[in-house]
Amino acid sequence: MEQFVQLFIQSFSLGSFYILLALGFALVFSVTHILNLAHGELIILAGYVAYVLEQKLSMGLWETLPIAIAISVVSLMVVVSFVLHQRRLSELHSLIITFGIALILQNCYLGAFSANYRIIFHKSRYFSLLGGHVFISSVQLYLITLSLGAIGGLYILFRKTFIGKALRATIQDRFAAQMAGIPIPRMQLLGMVLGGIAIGIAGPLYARVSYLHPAAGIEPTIEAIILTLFAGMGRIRILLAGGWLLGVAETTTAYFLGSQWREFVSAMVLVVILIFREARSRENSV
Amino acid sequence: MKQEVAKATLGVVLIIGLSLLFMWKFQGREDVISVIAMAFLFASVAFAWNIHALSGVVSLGHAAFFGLGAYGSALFAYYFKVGSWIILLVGGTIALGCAVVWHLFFEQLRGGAYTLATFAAAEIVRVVVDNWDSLTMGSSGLTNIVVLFSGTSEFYLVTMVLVIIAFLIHWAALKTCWGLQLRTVREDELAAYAIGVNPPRVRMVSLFVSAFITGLCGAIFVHRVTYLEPSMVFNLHISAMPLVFSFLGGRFTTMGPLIGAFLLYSVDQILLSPFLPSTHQAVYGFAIVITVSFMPNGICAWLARIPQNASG
Repeated sequence: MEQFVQLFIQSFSLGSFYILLALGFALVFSVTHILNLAHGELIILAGYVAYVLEQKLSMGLWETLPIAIAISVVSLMVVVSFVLHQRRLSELHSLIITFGIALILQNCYLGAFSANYRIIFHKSRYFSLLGGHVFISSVQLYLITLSLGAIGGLYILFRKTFIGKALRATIQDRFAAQMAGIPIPRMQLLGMVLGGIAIGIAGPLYARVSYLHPAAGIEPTIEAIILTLFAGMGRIRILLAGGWLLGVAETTTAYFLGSQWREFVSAMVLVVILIFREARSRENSV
Repeated sequence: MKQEVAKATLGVVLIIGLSLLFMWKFQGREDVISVIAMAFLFASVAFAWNIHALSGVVSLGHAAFFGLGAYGSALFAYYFKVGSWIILLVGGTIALGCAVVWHLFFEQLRGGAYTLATFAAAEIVRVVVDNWDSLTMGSSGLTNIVVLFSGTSEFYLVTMVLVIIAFLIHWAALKTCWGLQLRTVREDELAAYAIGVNPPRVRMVSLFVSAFITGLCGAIFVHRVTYLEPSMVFNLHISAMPLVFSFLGGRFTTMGPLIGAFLLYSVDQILLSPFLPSTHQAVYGFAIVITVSFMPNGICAWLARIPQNASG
């Protein structure tokens, strides 16, 4: 019984982590239809920034967050503006260009930080529940609170404010929104800023949960793509459900088969989703 | 058609002539000869990748074929104690097996979805090879792999022959009847069905040819380098290289991938790598970004002034 509760806590925090990773990607994709393959690299950038700040200036999580957010917003705006200014813009084109940007970033990290694995060592405090048999660490609490906080903030923005309504309109149908008088470039800018904030929150957490190395960007990118494709554009609640389901899937795999097969599961899930999506859209079109 | 065959022959003669010239000119410089030989090897991978790309899809997962060819060949030699050149074909066949799996699962996908799926597929293969310790020695890697090429000159000649074979198959995929079928499938699948061309079959053949050649190149690579670990052959860079070379050189020209490979690989290894030992491979990223932004049809097309709307 305790094992199930422990597994549940692990899944919930891992799922919350994936949701944070995917939020930035989903926002950018919904608003601009760009599949940003360099998404993981931007998270790693925020992670490296947090690492350097922690090493040199001994800043804790809450102090590095604003700086990481600022840097992520700027870098995401650079990447997305560059892709948006291309002559031909299709999904495939955006994939290839952001793939090139990911290559550039990976090698810059290799040059700047070398291939050593780095992590921000966080001395977790464990809180026991259910009479001492189930534990939850402080990092996991951070993950859950920050991701729920980010989701909550997005929810308030989307549902309760006028600008959120405009953003939702842009996501649903860009041309209709344009006819209603919503300035699309400004909405895209807003999407980039929100995406950057999500990346900036995810980066420092990533640096505490998992190792930072130049090639570490692929895994967050794949997780983000899985959740975004599963949820569809702009559907945040389904993103939440998908994130927690994925957390359950990976945690149970790690529990029964060992943690090295985790990446296998996530990549397989992506492939399955892509195939089912295609099959479903074929049915709908025929 | 006769004109095209004549151009292909000229191309082969040119490759042979230039490679012999390089071999004579840089006779003492083993390092330069080695770089040119590796450029030939990766140019062959680029030709193979482009054969698959000509059917209308962009694959970001060719590292899977390259690595499976390398691992297949090395492990086959290890387990069955075979030392002859037949193991290269084994490497190619194992890559072909992976391509069969890809075709079964990804046949329905198009465009961005296919590219993402290949991106994930390379990761899947990497994780499996990395974790299946009992079969592949996992992350520890393999050493003392059978050496098939005694000396740089022999390796140089082998890769020269390889690139000529790849060039001829690539030429066939552009200019012969098969090439026209590929082009029809690439440009308008529905019209291809209407004319009587079978798009899934055409795409399957191009994928299988591409995978086999890439696996062969992986096998040749590992028997030159004689040690192997998963991150060496299953990384994003190996997937990126044929894509960058083909885009840079010209995806719809016969010599394109070779020119792209020569230019970028040699520049990267000889000029940049001494100055920026860790970061020099960023030039591949720059190359792909600049090429796709400004010259989507590549250098060769720009030189030959192919109109921008020919086979986009």
